[in-house]
Amino acid sequence: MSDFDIFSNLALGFGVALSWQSLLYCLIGALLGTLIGVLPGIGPVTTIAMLLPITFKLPPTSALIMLAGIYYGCQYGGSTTAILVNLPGEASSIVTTLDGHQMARQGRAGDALAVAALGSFVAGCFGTLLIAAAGPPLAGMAQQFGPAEYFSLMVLGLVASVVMAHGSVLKSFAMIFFGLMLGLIGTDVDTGAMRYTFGIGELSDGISFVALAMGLFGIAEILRNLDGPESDRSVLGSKVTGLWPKASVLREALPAVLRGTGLGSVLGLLPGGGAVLASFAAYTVEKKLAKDPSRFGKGAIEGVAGPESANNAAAQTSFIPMLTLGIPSNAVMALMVGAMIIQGIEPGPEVMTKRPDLFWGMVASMWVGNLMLVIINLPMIGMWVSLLRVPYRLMYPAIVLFCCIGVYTLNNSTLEVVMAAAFGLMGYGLMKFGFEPTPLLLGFVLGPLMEENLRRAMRYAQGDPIVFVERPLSAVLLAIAVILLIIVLLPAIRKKREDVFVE
Amino acid sequence: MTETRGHDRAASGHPVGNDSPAPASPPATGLVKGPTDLAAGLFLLVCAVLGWWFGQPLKVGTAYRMGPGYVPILLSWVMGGFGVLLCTLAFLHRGAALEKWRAKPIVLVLGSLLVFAFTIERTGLLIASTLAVAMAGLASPQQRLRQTVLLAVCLAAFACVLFPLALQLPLRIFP
Repeated sequence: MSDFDIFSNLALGFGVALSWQSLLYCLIGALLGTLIGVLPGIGPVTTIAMLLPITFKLPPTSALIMLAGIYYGCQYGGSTTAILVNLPGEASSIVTTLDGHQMARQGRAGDALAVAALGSFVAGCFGTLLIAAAGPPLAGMAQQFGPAEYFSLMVLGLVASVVMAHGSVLKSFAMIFFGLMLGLIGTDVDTGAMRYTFGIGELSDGISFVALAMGLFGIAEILRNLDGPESDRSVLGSKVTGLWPKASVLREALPAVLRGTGLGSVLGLLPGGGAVLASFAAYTVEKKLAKDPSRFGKGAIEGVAGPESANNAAAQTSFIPMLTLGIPSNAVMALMVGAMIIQGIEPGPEVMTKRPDLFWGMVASMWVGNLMLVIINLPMIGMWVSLLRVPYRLMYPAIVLFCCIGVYTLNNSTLEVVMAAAFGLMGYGLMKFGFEPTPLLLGFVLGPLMEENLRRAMRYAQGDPIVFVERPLSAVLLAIAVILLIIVLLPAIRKKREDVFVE
Repeated sequence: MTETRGHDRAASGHPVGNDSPAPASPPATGLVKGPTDLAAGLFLLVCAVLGWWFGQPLKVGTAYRMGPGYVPILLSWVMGGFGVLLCTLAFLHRGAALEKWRAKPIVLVLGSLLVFAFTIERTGLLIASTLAVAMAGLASPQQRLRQTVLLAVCLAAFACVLFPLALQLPLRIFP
C-alpha cells in the first residue's frame, strides 16, 4: 500500500465523516457517551448496550459512527469523574484518580482536565492514523487466510485476552469455554439441526447478543452495586478554573502524553488489552521514569497525562483487529461486532473492500469525534459536574428501564427481556464465584465462527488435525498462543503480572 | 494514602480470582479451603453435565465430517474438566470465602424486568415503564417512596417521548 492510498482513503473517509448527518450523529454519540460515562458505576459496555436501540433505525454508517462516538465519549467522561470526584467513571480511569484528584484538591483541576483532554486528543489523532495505515495491509493479509489460519487466529485471540486480563487464569479460560458453549445454542449452520433450543422458536437464531450483554454487564452491575451502601461522593465544590493551562504545564506533560500514546497504541492492538490495561501500564511507566517518583499520588501531571493518553490511544487501536480481521479484542469490540451484525454487516476483511465508505468514514469520524470532545466538553465541565450530584438510587432504575426497552425493541420479543433478567442473575452469580464476564462474551461472539472454521479446516484436511501446524501461518499463530500460555502459567511471571494490576 | 485507597478500589472493582488473595475474608477452616472455588467448580460441572445430557440427541459424527453434536460434546467435556480442576483446587488451596447474595435487589430488579416483559404488550409503554421503574427503585437501601413514584412517572413519560415518538421505534404508548 502506498502513501497515496492512505490519503485518498482518508479523503474518502472525511467526505463521509464531514457530511452534516455524520457530524450530527458523531456529536450526539460523543455527548451521550460523555453524559453516561461521567456517571460512576456504569461502564462503557453497559452504556453502549443501553444506547444500541437508538441506532437501530439509522443507516449502518451513521449507527457505527454514533456508537464509536459513544465509546470514546464514555472514556472521556470517565476521566472527568476521576479527577473531580475521586471515583472512576470507568475502569480505565481508575489510575487517573490517583494524581488527577490530588491536583483537583490543590486547585489545579483545570490543569488536570485540560491535560487529560489534550492528551486524549493527541492520542486519538495518532490512533486514527495508525488505523488508516495498518488497516489495509492487515485486511489484505487476512484475505489470504484459510479456515485453519482463522481458527488459529481466534485461538490466539482468546488465549491472549486471558493472559492480558487480570484475575484467575483458570477461571477466565473456563468462562471462554462457557461462552463458546452458549454460542452453540440455536440452529447448526452446517446441518440445520437444532441445538439446545428446547423447542423454543426464538432460540433457533441463537441467544440474543444484546440480551446477553445487557444481562451480564448492565443488570449484573446494578445488582452488585446495590450490594453495598451508596458511597459518599464529595464533588469538588469550587468552580473549575484555568482550563487553558500555561505553556509550562503543557511542556511538562508532553513527553508523558507521547509515551502514553505509543504504549496505549500497542496495548490496544493486543487482544484483551484495551483501555484499562493501557492506563495501568502507562502509569507504571511514568512512575518508573520519573526523576522523583514520590511526587506520584500527590498530584503529578505525568500521572494524568500518561494514562489518559494511553487509554484513549488503546480505545482507538482496539478497533483495528475488529475492523480488519473481524475479531473483537475486548468486550466493547464484541458489542461493536454485535451492532454491525444487527445492521447486516459481516465484520471482517471484506468490510474495507465492500464498504469502503463505511470503513473510512468511521475512521475519519473518530478523529472528528476526538476533536469535538475537546472543543465541546471543556466548556461544558460545569454541566457534567452537576450530573455527578444525581444519586445512584435515582440513576439505576433509569438504566433498568433503558435496558428493558433496548432488549425488547431489538426483535419485539418479550422472551428476550426475560432472558436478559436470567443473564443478569447469571452474571451476578458468576461475579460471586469469582468469574469475569468479559471472556464469556468474547467466547460467545467467536464461538460460531470458530466452529465453522474448525469444521471447514478439518474437511479440507480429511479430518487430520495436523493441518493446523502444517500451514506455516497457522502454526506461527498457535505457537504464539502456546508461548503466551506457558508464560502466564509460570509462577514467577504470574506473580509479576499480579503486581502490575495492583500497581 | 490516596494511593492505597486507589488500590483498594482497583481490587474491589473486579471479582477476585482464586489466585489473588482476598484479605477481607476470614481464613477458611475445615476440609474446604476455597469455598468460592468450590462453588465455581460445581457451577461449571452442572453446566457441563447439562450440556452433555441435552447434547445426546445430536449426531456427533467424525473429525472429518463433524455432526452438530461434535463441538457441543467436546466443549461439555472440557468444561467438566475445568469444573473438576476448580473443585480439586478448592480442597488444596486457600481461597476466598463465599460472598453473600442479597435477595432484595435480585428479586426487585429482576422482577422489574419480568414485569416489563409481562406488561409491555398488554398495557403499552407508559404503564409498563412506570411499573418497571417503580419496582426497580424499591431495591435501593436508600429509597424513598415518594421520590421513587415521582421518578417512575417522569422516566416513563420521558421514555414515551424518546422511543416511540422521537426515535420512531415501534412501541405502543397506551393500552
